[in-house]
Amino acid sequence: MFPFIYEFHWTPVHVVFLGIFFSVVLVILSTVSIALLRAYKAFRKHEHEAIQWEAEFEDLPAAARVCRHQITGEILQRTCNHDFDCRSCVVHPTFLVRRAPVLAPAGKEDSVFGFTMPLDRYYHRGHTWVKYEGEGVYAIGLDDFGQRMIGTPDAVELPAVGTTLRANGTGWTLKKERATLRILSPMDGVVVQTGTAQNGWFLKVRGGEPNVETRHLLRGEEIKPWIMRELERLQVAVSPEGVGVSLADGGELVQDMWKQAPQVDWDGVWGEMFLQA
Amino acid sequence: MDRQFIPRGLQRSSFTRFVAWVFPWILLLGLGLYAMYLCLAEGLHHTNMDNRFAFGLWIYLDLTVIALGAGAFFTGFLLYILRREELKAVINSAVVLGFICYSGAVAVLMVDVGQPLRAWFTFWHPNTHSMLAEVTFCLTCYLTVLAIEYVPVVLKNRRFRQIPRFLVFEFELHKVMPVFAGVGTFLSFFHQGSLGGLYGVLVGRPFAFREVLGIWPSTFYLFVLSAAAVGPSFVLLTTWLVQKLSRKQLVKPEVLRFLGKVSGSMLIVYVLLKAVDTLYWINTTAPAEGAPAYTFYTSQGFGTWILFAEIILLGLLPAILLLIRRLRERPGVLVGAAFLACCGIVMNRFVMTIQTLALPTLPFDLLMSYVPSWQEVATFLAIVAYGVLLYSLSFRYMTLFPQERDIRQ
Amino acid sequence: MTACPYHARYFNWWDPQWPEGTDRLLNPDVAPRMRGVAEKCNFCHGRLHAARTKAAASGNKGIAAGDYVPACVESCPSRAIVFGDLADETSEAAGLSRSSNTFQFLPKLGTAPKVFYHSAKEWVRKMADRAPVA
Repeated sequence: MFPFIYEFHWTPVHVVFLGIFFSVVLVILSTVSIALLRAYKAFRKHEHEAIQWEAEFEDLPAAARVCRHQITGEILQRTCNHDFDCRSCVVHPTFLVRRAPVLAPAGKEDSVFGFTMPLDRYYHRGHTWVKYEGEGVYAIGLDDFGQRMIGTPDAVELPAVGTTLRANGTGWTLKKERATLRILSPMDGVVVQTGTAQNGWFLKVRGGEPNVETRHLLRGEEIKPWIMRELERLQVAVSPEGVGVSLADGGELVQDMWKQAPQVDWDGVWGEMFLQA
Repeated sequence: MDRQFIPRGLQRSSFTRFVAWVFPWILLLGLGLYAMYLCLAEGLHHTNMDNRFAFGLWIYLDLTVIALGAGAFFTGFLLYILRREELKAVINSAVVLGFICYSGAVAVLMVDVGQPLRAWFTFWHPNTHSMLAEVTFCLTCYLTVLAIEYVPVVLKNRRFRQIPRFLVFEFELHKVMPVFAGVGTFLSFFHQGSLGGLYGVLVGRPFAFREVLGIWPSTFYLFVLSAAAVGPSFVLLTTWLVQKLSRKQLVKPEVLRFLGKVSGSMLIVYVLLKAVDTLYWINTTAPAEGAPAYTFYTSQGFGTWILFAEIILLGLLPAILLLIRRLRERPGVLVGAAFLACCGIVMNRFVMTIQTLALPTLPFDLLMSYVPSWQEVATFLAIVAYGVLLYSLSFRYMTLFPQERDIRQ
Repeated sequence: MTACPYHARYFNWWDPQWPEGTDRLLNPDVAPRMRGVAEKCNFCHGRLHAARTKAAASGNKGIAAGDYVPACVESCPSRAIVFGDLADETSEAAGLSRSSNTFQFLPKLGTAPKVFYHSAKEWVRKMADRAPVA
């Protein structure tokens, strides 16, 4: 093949055979390199949060990816194929034309099976709420449903002031019983203040226009059907076979579900309910 | 104890039970590794092959697992090239199986070959007229492709995916996966075929020799077809087996039925062509070499029943069973037919290696017999153990069956 | 080894072992190789190379007919083996190969072997091939 090997003669068969082989090798190597390069560039551009969400969303079970318009009964059956980003979904505006749910004034609450869901704010499917406080600042917290599922976390790690958050990216992390839970950020913005569970909010974020920033969040009449569905999902996640621990109908949920039923795979349940695959 | 590594929402047995399952296979692997060491360090006299019986258990198994492992490339082809999205449910499992089959085959080959340390000769001093050189090139490339296809499955592990670099790389790799599926199909076509191409030059064995059709012997095309036919059946069979062993439903029944349908369609074409090829061999090829076909079937144990078993019982019958929808919908028939199809290919590879070598060549030769030595059997079992171990690890810590979670609900 | 129907290929199933002292009896020009290598009769090609080298050294183009024979031909006491250049029409080997009492094993396979056998006995010649097709 090479000058070192004597008495070797190139024939057309050699050219064809070795040509094909080395082209295949080239294709394989270059494709891997392209993937590596793209990954490096995406990483540099901090796109890994968006990619992470896209990948996680794909791996969520179908029941977790139900479109908000199926929840409210506006459409019979639709699974979200847009990573819950209603801002750029082509189907979502067609529903808004017919009926757009609105925020209620402060003080109005919905009590769904004992969960207190104030209706003056927006809700993210990952169980965080967003409240516009004026002058481009939004408050973000964990809703009652999420609160009761986790109880009192062992540790809360909030992002530093000045961190850029992306919708459906990482908001903050909680640690409980050897499990680390990522709470998804409900919106894009820059962190201006951090809070605690006592404050009632965890983050204050500077974002853009309220109607633009929050189009993908649930509000008003969407909350009740959503929470009912989440309860169903929680029931299934807690005991998939239908036996063992169950949520009694008609009862109220306790403050800390984890304490009441320690044998349940809470890490799996939290992942399921907080939208992590 | 290892809950954090197990994918969310899936139920797996306790760590202790898993260790108990894995332990005997590790022992088996250890024994096999010792047998391999003996063969490599002391010589191949540890096997029961000899100067006249040069194809033994290992070559037979190599051909068989490579044919069965074709499920990986064919499922990938159907999913990524032909866009049959229902196969997303089994592609990860198929890739792992393919990786196990091919890496196992290469490992056994390294022991079977007399000088494994000179394996690089094939690349540096290629004999481009040799079918086996072509097989070596293709196998090396394809093993690389399979490893690359295995990487995303591993990177999607619950803990690994939390590392942003891994997740982003996996994402980008997944975007270019059709390229690898295409390359894999191209390579598989050639190495499956070239393993059959050997019989175009094997003039010394009229039983196996086949004449050239175009530029390759008929066995080239038959081997490709048989591998493509048995691949989906093997994926079907293993999925069923894993479901049985884990007592869980892992895929929706439509997926298995689809695999059965594909397998049946390829199988009927294969059986037809094989019948034509066999008739041609009986009437033209064998007599031209001075050996009427019936002479190969007079020995005890290798009667004409082998021919009928391979083509009719283990070829035509499963093909028909898999093609009739009403029968396909009965799980017992589906799995049974897939099993028969796999047995048919196993038998075909047996006939082309062991029977070929056993038959006499010179007119005064007698039929030869061969029983593998314990070292050969142990090496083979080591590969099986390696496969079970790798698959068990993958099943426990990675998402091999994406539909499992949906089915649970 | 699979391809050869004449059982003329031999595999080194183990390393050659020589009892103490017997390695001094070995011919330095010829030796079996290590385990894992396939061997065959190569008509003592070492002798062929030696003959060619010798011819080249004395300025000749090629080797003459009797310059090179394999060791078995040279040592056969009943001179039962004839070796020569089949392409050379005048050689004894070529002449014998055309005799009606000369045969090859399995001639219809298309292997074109360079080993011919010669026997005056018909039953011996019949053993070279399978029964003819009716």
